[in-house]
Amino acid sequence: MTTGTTATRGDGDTATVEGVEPVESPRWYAIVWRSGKARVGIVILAVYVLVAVFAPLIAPYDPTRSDFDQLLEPSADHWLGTNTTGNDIFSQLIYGTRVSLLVGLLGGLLSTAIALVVGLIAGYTEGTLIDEVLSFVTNLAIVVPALPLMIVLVSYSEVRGLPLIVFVIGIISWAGHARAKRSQIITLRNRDFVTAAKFAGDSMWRIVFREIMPNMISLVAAGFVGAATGAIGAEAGLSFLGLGDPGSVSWGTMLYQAQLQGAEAQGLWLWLLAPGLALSILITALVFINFGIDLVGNPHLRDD
Amino acid sequence: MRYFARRIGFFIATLWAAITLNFVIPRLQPGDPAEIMVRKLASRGTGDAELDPAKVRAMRAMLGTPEGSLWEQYVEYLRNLARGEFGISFTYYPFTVSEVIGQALPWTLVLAGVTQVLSFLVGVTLGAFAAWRRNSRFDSIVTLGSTFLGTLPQFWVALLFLFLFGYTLGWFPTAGGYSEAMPGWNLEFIAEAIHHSILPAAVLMLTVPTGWVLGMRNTMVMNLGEDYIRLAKAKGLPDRLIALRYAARNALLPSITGLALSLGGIFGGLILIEQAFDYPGMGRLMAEAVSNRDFPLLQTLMLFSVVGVLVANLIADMLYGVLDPRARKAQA
Amino acid sequence: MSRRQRAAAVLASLTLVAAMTACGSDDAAESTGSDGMIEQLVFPAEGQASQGGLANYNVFAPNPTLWNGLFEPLMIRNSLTCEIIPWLATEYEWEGGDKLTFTIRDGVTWSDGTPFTAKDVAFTFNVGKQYPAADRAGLWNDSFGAPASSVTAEGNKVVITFTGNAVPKFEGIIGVQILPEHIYGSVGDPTKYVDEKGIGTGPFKVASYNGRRLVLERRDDYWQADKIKVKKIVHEGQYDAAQASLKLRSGELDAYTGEIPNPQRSFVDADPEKNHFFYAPAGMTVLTPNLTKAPFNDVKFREAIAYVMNKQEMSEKATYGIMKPASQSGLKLPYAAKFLPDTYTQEATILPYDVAKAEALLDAAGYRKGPDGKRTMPNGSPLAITFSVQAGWIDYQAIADVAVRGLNEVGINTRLVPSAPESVDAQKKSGDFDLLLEYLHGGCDMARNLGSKLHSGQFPTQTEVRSNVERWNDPTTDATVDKLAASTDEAEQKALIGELVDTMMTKFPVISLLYAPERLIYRTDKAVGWPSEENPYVNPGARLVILTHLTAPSKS
Repeated sequence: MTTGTTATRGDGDTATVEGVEPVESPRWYAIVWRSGKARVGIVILAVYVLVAVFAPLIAPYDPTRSDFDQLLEPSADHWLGTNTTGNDIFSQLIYGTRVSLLVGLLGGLLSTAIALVVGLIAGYTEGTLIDEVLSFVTNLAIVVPALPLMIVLVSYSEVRGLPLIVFVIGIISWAGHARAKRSQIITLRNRDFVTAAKFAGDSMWRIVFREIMPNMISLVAAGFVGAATGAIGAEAGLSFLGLGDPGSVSWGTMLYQAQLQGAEAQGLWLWLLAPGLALSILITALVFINFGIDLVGNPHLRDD
Repeated sequence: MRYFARRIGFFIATLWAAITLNFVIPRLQPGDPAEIMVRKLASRGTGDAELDPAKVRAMRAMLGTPEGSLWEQYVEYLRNLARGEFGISFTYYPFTVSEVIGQALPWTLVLAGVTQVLSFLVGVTLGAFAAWRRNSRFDSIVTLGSTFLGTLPQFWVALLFLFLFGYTLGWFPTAGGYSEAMPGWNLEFIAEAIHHSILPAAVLMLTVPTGWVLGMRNTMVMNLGEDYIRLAKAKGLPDRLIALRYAARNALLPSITGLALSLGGIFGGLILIEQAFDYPGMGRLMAEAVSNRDFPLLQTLMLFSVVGVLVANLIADMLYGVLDPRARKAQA
Repeated sequence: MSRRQRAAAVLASLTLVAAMTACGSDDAAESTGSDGMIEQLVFPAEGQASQGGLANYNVFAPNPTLWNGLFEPLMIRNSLTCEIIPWLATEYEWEGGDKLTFTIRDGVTWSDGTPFTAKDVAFTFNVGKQYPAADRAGLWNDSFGAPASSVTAEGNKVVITFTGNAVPKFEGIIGVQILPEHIYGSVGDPTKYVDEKGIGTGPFKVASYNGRRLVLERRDDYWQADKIKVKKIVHEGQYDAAQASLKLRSGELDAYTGEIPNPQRSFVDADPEKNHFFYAPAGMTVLTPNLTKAPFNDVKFREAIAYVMNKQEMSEKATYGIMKPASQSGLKLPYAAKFLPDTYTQEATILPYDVAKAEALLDAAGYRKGPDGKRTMPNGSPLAITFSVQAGWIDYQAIADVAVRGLNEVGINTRLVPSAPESVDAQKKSGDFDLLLEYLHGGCDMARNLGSKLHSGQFPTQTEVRSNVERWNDPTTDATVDKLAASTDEAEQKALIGELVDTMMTKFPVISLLYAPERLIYRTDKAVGWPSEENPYVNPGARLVILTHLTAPSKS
């Protein structure tokens, strides 16, 4: 009997190699952590999350408190100064983390959830009427211009709150992801383990969610991070266009206010730079994390 | 063959559904075009003002009230669409929607089209080099740099560029697609147009290529690990040849369809950029149409956008069918 | 001399000659400058952004390429002093409330040389009868009074007869821009006509338009050409606040009438000698309660909350201290002081921010504080107010923010809800709101402004927003306003207006907050004579009048 090792490739196939020392297949989180970029991303994200969670402790004032003098220069009392309404910019920046992370998380979840359900069912029932209908709806959702749709959705609601924003973002962005998931499931569907499950008599739902999905984890995870990233950017964009939630303080609404008040002309640079940078750094961190997740699904990239 | 037929079928069905949505969506928005128009004229965009009822009445008489039920209006809309009549714009009454769009379309096509193609070329090239020189410093810089640049909010970068290069340094004009020249095929106009478009194009070129860079790099890395590459190397083919003719070419495939799709999307216009630079393109027109509840104009703009994306989709799918035989087989 | 030296000498002498000629032509420029002529002024474009090559000077278009400078009205109302400046008409006369006669000026020509006559005026008004879309003044319908029955030109007079009292239509009538019959007479529906030439009676005519940049040049045959010192006007570009102030600072723009937040810091500080702004009061922002709903139907409650409005802070936060707290009388003080009844002084009509007084009034009226510090209704039920404000209207939002803070400070549980402007409009129409901000026009026709705000015939309908958003319903007020609308006697008008002022001061149907501006932000390096705080000879929107006052700065 020859000694050998079972090496596992990412997609579940196995092969026996003779005369090789046993190597533990790395767990997915180890793979992600191994990537330098992903590590940086995770650390940065952790910082943002901590800031969001402990915002009341970190921020010196209530972000909506407007009884300060306007346009104060940065000082010990106001690290980034005050804006034209008299809010403390630093407090707004800190509390804005909450909104951006929350919208990112929920928006990403909603978008991914819809995409997952639609994509999985469409992909699994490929070629049938169900697939045709779902693909049709997906294409339609991709094709309709986002701006008018966003404006209509937002203006139709009497009350503008975060749930509305999350809803709008979810509706606008699920279609792109759905397509990707559909393609992925089509490739997986024809694999042996699925055929085996079918022969064993498993129902479609069981096959889809018990057999196929676990193999799609990395794609779904990457998709979720991507969707969350998109949601954060979309919230900023929506707020900048004036469609955001005027009752909440987010980086997008800060930029919107700054622009309305002509911050460039008034020379209020900190007010403009701070939220933009905060946004960019967070999104960059998420993209880096996605690099790491890509490694899990795409082993060829792993030698980085 | 079936592959292509299916694609065309999808195209037509989606087009019809999108046209219907384009009719419905603008009408869902609350707000009366006549009142909005009069308020804008009275306050010149600064918010509240006296709404003179006599003026509102006259404006309503001018814009006309649609006759018939919603269904009858819809049928009328489809009929006009088939005849190529897009109606008269409310905002630019009495000019037709076609005339109005005709003004804005070339600007968007040129700015967005050129920057998309350039971004593609730059991005794909950088991505290919980065993949070929994996883990080198070049690779790190390109990947990290383009990632970060791609996350910068476009409107934010536009504001900064405008202030820095436009007002402070005075290198570039700060508004408009052109200034004093008479539009037409003359040197003065073309020079002015180019000069005015450099700043907006710069903003785009800074933030757009990122997608291409990363996509190309990752696909190519994946390809480089494939067996046929190993075989080519084993055969002793020069690295450069392998990179260009095999890896890059195959990695280009998904990117090309991506290019087709993004080109289709340019009809939606670049609203934030155009607003920042006072650039007379489709994005700005759409924002005006939305805020004025200009149904005829908005419907047609949305139509352009939809058709652009659908046609691009179709072309991309067809291209994929032509370029990648596996796709055709899978559908047969 | 070597060839090179000779060339250098030629070059030198040429340069010298050129320099001297330049100096010479500078002198020439000096001499034209000394007669006060201004070479060129640059304003923003008046047509909307994507106009491009779609030039249309027709004033009926929702987006004419130009509003000011080509066509002129019969008379111009100075909305600050309320005097009427004769323009294309030299006189007017009301006989009863149903016959209006204008005397038309002689010696006016259209910019294509055709003489201007009373027939053009009659045509302009009559075309609205056939085509209601062209009837912007509401002459032929019942807006602001009885419809007209005929408009005729008799020699150099134009006579308009009405079927009933039509005095409130006056403001609209004098503002109508007069059209040339020889051009517009043959086009059928004038609102559908694309006017590519812009032949008008105004001081300027179109010199060139390349789709973005409109150049107007001065007409020598303008009827008061001696007063127009501007040779060329350029209209170019559409700017938001930041772009406009940057362009003004760099001198690429000479004047701007849109909103620029904090003009002192954005613009004036850059060069206080040359950079100025004039924000004249045009109307006022008023706190509008829903009078059909408790507790707003209680006059004591309304009086109390009037003292909780910190107008000074509103002025600072919303307008950077520029616009002043408004008078509760509803009058635009000090300009309209002549209408103030003698029983009031101007200062007394501007209510102070007095928390103690508000608390006392609320307690006395029965709105006591509960154990949680929040006030309740007299019957003990909880009091919770929603304040709707238009999201994106930064000045309104700032004002509302201060108002809500004030209300909460005295224990009135109030929540600020920013919504889309259309939503707020919908609330005005349906009457389903608690508090919101509204605009009270400060024009000179009191019946139309303060009057219609208080008249029960002006409740908003399901489809239209009208002035009486607060739903003030008092037959005495209605009678006063109706009489005022029919009155042409100054003394009678003052008395009637005094009654309305009393209503405002004692019953608080709406609560005045801040004056709202009509803006002019301008430079004085190329032209002086703009209206200003020191010399408010006319309101900033009266472009034609301003053009007749501008001259070049004196060289000192």
